[in-house]
Amino acid sequence: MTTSSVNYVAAATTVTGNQVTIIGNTITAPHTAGNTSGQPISAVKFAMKVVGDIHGLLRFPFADPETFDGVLLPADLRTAQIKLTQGGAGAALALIAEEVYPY
Amino acid sequence: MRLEQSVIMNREAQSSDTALFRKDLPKAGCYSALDIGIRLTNGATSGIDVDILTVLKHISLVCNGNDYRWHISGHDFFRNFWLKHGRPMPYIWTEAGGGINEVWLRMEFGRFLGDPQYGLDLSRFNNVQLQIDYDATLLGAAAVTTFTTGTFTVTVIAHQFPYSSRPSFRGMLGCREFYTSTSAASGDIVEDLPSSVPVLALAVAAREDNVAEATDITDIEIGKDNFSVVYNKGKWYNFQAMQNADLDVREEIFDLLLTSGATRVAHLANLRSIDLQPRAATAGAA
Repeated sequence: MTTSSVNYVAAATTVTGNQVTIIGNTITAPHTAGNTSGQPISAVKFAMKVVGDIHGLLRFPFADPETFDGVLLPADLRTAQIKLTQGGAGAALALIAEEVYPY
Repeated sequence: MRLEQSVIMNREAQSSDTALFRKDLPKAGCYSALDIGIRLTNGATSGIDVDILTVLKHISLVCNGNDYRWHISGHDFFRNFWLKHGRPMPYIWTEAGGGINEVWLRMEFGRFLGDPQYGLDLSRFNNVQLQIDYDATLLGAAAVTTFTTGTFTVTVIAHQFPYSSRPSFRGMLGCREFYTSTSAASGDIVEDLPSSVPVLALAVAAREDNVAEATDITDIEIGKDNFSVVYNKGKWYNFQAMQNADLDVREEIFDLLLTSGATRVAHLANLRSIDLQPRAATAGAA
C-alpha cells in the first residue's frame, strides 16, 4: 500500500506595521506519480515567531529609577505639557504617567 | 528583607463575559507588587485572533473609592512593562480548539520587588480595590470559533512583606492613564501633564493595526512654560529605535490555526523576522 505524505508551508507575504498576511499551501506528494500538488491551507497548526519593536508605545523616563533624581516635581509640572503631532487618523491614543504618591 | 507570595485568588472563573470585576484587598498588609493572571478559553473548534489584551479594557487600583492610582488598558499595561523592564510578562497565545490563552500583568508599587522604601501599605486606606473592566465579546460573541462563555478567569497574587516585619514605606508608585483619544489626520494635540504628585516617567501610546509605526503620531515634545523648557523633543521613529535598543526580548510566539490569506496582528511592529513552522504533517509510507 502506498500513502502520500502531507506537508505544509507558509510565508508572510505582506507586512504592514504590526500586521502580517500569510499565504500557506498544502504539499501532497504522491509517491507513485512522482510529482507534487499544492492547495491553500485551511486551519492548519503553525507556530509563528516574530521579531521587532514594541508596537505603538514609547516611554520617557525622567528620573533615575533608583534614586529618583530628575523626577518632575509638582512645581515643574504646573506648566508642563506634552505635544503630539498627528499624521494619520484612527490610532488609539493614550498618555500614561508613572507617579510617586507620598504617604 | 524577605518577600512572600500570597495568593489572593486562584483562577476564579467569572460567569459574565462582560463585567467590571471588583476585588477588595485586605485591610492590612504591605505589598511590593500585585500580579494579575488572566485566562480565557477558546471555543471548541478554535479561537481565531483572540487577544486577551483587547478584552482587558482597563485594570485599576482604586484607593478609598475614587483615588485611581493605577488605571491602564491591557494593551498599554503589557507594553509598558515590556519597555520598562526589557522583557514581557508571560503571555500564551493559542488558537487551538479549547486552548487556553493566558497573560500576566504586574502592578509594581516599589522601585523593584522587595523595595523597603516604596510600596502599597493597605493600612493607609479605608479601602483598596482591584478593578478589571473586561469585555470578552469585543472578540465577537462566544462561539466555537471565538471563546467559550464563562471562562474569563482571574488570579491575583500579592508580593508582600511578612506581617511581622512590615516596612515603613515613604510612598508608592502608580501608573495612570490621564488622556485618551483617537488620532486625526493632522494637527497637534497639546495636553497638560498631571501635577499633583511627582512624575517619574511618561508613556505615549498610539496603536493602530496594519499601519506603519510613526504614521499616526509623527513627533513628540515634552516641556514646560510653553515649551521654552524642553525635556524631550523628536520623531517617533527615532525614539522607538533608541528605546527598543535596550530590550532583552524583542520576539513573541503564537500558536496559530492558519488559513491561507489570513492576517494576524502582533504586539510588535517594524518586524525584522517572521518564522512560520508547521506543527502538523502526515508521514508517507511506501
